[in-house]
Amino acid sequence: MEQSVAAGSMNRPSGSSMADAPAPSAEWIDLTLNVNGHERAVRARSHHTLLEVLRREVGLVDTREGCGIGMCGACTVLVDGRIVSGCLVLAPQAEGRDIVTVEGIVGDNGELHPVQDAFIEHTGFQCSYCTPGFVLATKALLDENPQPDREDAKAYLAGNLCRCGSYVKILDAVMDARERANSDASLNGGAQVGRLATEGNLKATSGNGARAPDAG
Amino acid sequence: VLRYHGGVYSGRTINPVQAELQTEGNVAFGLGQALYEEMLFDNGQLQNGNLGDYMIASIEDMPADLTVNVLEHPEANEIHGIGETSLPPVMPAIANAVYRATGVRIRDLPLTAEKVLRGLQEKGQGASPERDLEEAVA
Repeated sequence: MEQSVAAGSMNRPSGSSMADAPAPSAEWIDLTLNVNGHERAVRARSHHTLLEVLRREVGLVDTREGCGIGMCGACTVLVDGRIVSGCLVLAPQAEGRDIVTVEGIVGDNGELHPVQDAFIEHTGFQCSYCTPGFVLATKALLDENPQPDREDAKAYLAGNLCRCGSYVKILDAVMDARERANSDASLNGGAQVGRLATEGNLKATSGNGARAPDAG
Repeated sequence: VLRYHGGVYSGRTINPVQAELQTEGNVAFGLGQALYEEMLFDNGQLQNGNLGDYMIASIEDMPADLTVNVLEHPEANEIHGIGETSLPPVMPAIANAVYRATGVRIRDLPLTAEKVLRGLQEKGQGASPERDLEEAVA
């Protein structure tokens, strides 16, 4: 199978401009990706991963490549509110989906997401290469289960690797993020309708737009 | 590994949080080396050169009870390098715990279940760490 592909690529017309892609389909595809609430028109080949397109075409480089085989979680992105490894999703597969990267969870005025605040407060990182993945995984965990205990968090975050071994403080940060997210939710949720009109609450509501697909 | 306590002498600590992170990180790193990480070669070719086959410690492998001490001398003004200084003791500490629990002394990492089983078979049925200790003392 691989040999036939290789033979096919050798027979390709020599006018091809891209040197990096000995792929059976060398054609560029026009895609419209919904990234962090904005429609982004990008061009990709059929074998380009969502990670590559986010970094190269969209320019959101906080989503990082670690292992490239879906083991380390550094490329974690939210697709329709669920965590996926950006290196395992082909860019065309993500068309029409709601993609959220770590750049997209900050508020409209640049205020940090409670999970980010918690990671900073507890210094849940050393080199911070894994941090965007951990932040998004923690956000997804809290969206799914607002009251995780330490064991729940450990099981959920086992797919994110940190080679610095900052796991202890990461776990502290996750537990703190749980408290922060819940106190925010009690302010912004339906329970205290009277407070919804304040500016801060409106911001937080729009910042959490990615949760909408989970509601169903 | 259920419980681990790490300590390192720093002289005078410059960045306490980073010092703690480094010491905790060494436990994660050493735990991976002690229990999982092994580069496997076949005819000079690395066989497990990716994170799917070369297992490193994840957040699930961390000891439930992990404490570290960064020790300072109250009058010390010199600054000691920390970081990897607390990494080397992790592997022998775990190997000693395995010996204490099973009586099997393993001298090549990682400490796999297979090596423990082979060690038990070599020692025969009557082996126990208590008896070994008694023999060592005698």
